[in-house]
Amino acid sequence: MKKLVIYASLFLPLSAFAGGFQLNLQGLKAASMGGAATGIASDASTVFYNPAGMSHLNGHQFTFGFNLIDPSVSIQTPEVANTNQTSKRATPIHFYYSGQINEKLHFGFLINNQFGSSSSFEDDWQGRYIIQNISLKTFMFQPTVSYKLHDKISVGGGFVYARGSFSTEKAIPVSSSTSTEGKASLSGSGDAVGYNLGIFSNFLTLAHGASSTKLNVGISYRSELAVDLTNGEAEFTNIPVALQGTFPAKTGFTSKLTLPQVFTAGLSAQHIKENYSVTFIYDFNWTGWSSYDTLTFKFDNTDTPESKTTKDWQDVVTHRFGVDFTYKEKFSVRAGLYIDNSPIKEGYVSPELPDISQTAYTAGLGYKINDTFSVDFSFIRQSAERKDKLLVANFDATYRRKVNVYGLALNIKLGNKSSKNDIKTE
Amino acid sequence: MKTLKTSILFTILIFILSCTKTEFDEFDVPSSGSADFSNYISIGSSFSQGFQDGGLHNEFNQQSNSYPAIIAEQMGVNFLQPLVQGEGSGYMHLAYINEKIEIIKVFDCEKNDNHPLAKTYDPSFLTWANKSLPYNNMAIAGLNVRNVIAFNPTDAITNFILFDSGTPNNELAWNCVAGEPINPYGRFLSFGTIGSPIDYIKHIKDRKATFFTNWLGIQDAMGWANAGGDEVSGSSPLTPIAEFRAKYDALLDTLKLTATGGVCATVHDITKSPFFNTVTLEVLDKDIWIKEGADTNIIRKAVEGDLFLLSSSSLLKTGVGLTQQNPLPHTEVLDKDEVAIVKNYINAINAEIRASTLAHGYFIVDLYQFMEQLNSNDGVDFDGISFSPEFIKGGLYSIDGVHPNQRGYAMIANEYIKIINQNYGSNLKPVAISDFRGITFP
Repeated sequence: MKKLVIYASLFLPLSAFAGGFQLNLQGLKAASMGGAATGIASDASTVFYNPAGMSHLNGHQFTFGFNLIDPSVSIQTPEVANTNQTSKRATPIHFYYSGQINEKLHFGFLINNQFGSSSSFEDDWQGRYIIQNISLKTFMFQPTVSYKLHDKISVGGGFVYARGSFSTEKAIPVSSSTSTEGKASLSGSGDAVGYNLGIFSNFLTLAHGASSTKLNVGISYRSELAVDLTNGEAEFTNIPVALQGTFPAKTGFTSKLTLPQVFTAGLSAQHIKENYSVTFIYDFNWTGWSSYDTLTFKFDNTDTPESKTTKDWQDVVTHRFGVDFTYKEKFSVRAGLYIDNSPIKEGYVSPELPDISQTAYTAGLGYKINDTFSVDFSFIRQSAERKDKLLVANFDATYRRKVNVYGLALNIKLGNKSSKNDIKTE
Repeated sequence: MKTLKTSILFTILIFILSCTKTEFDEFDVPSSGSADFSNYISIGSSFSQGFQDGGLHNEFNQQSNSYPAIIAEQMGVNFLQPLVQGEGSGYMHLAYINEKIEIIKVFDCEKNDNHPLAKTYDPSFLTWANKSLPYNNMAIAGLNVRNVIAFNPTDAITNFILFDSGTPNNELAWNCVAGEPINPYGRFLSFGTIGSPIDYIKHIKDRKATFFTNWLGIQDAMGWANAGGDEVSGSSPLTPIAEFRAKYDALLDTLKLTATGGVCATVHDITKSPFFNTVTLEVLDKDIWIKEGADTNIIRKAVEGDLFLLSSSSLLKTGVGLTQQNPLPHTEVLDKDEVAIVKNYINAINAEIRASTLAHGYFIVDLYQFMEQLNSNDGVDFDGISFSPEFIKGGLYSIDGVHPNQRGYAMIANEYIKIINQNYGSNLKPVAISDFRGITFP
């Protein structure tokens, strides 16, 4: 498994995508509907959004999905009219499984990339002493169970194993007669364990003739994940001979990156008629980004000064809204939006991750091929601009960022072909 | 109907594919506002000529990136400088010897203990600069305000001897090269003959500047201070305030004939440069004996507030200054009282610079204040690089500890640009500090 992870992370860079470096792309029905899914259990992605929701999925369900993140970021400073980030497209993936063991108990599993970011620039750009390249990748593995306490209430929880890898490069302002500057390249990886918990209730069903209205509520919590980078490798290149004691060709380093805890409370209302259904969904989402207060690299070589950057991020709330219209249980059209707040305070905005508060729009389509297979397509559009400073570097810039995210997922349902709705009320 | 559908779909597709464009438009063409930058000239001393590392050299564009040249580049105008070739006058550099960084001084013909690695002048330096070209950078290293015009025959002879390149077999000749003047850095101008000398100010007049920057005045304080506050051979006195003002006025009167705009800079507190703050009692951590002045025989222990010159370190290494019998010469120390004299003097000439500039309808670039920020112990940051006044490590000053390096000069250019924009409504862009070189390490 470890080998798989290493290979996978080599091929799957993740890209800067707002919301700090959290990737809110873990299910495509949710991604189509503003990222909201905690108060609904419409497919196996509930293993991630709210493990208690598994109790409402019949048989064995699988979801395979991936996203293509297509970012474009440009920077203007008082001195340089335009610099484009050279970040490549990224393709985070997700896989979910939810299986019914008996009337009360479900087992599930997930593999996904919950956090990630990357920023790259040409090596000689103006802010190269702040950042040339940075990339963070994470993989999560989570075995999960849910238990039906009562007809209308279920609970769930999972154990999370996370693997994170990190690399960054920046220029060092030392020149010799043969080089204009040095370069530091750092890379490392580490792991962390955590958990997630959820509670779900289909608390109200109103039937009136051929139509019915269902209300669901869900709450979920994902713990912090403190990734220890214990085996980091730092390489310093193009360093003048006289300074190679301070910046040796190679030295180890350690660091720690705490991925934030996330709390979400969600609500959904589904109105079902003979030929169609309409679903409204809302999530209140809180992310504890204050865990990202400093980023420190401690080098094994004692002459290399410790690098400590104050991040001082803040906890943020995101509101997520979505609507789904499904015709004859076969064709679905979805839309939504989310109001995202940047965790980065004024004066701390860095080109390594210029996060911007914004309202982003989402849309999607679903098609049920047959009782076994269905596909979802999602699209997210972000477009925002922010003018701010990185005080510690005296770097003043306007960041303009547009991101398109395209997602495609395949859902497979085995073992219970008779189910009429994902959310079943007994 | 089908065509309509297709074209709608096509339009949507084009929209989605094209809307990730984020590029910012290029900046507007530089606007000069109410100023006329078409014939911009720079007046000043070493700091304005692009002098650093104890010399005028250009092997890594040090002189090409003088701060006036940076300003001119941002103005988008032609700017002719009397550029030296490569190693130019010779300069100080760093060498890595026995796992230690050593400062290698410029080759000095009067000393017999020059370091084998010491750099001397490039042969081309002796024939440097065509006197007939209309240079825009008129700064001359070592130029005092008192040298810009002669008010009497003594002034005229002094200035002529200082700068004229035709002095035959003068034993004061630069670098012991017969035929060289005392100061070779003004060789791109003609100073006439001893019988009929030409004032520097005459050249300024002939240049018919439409706009100027002027950072003269530093040398009037520095010549004295960098010699330990003593008048070496009577050549570096502090220019008397009245003479300073009269000649400063004369210079601006001349500029006023043609220049509709210009800025003059105040003199920074030179005692805060690494030249005076690197060899300290704290670093030496022992008693140091100093001779107080040329005209006294007072020998005393150095106290806090006495500033040792950077150059004193080589003498201290040989044991000079460690005993009362063998004190550090007065020329190696700016003692406490002399520090106060320099600071007061700089305040006094700055008051004159301000008054004269405003009276002539020009504007002040307060480099005194600006350099106070750069020289503060907290330092400053630009483009993610941290700068402090610390010698070598700080990244701001060149290896002579007096003059900034290219990055420091770029900061100064940006300060000029800011003030010019504020007062003339121009929109000159500042430069990115990271585009310039810092110190060259071995």
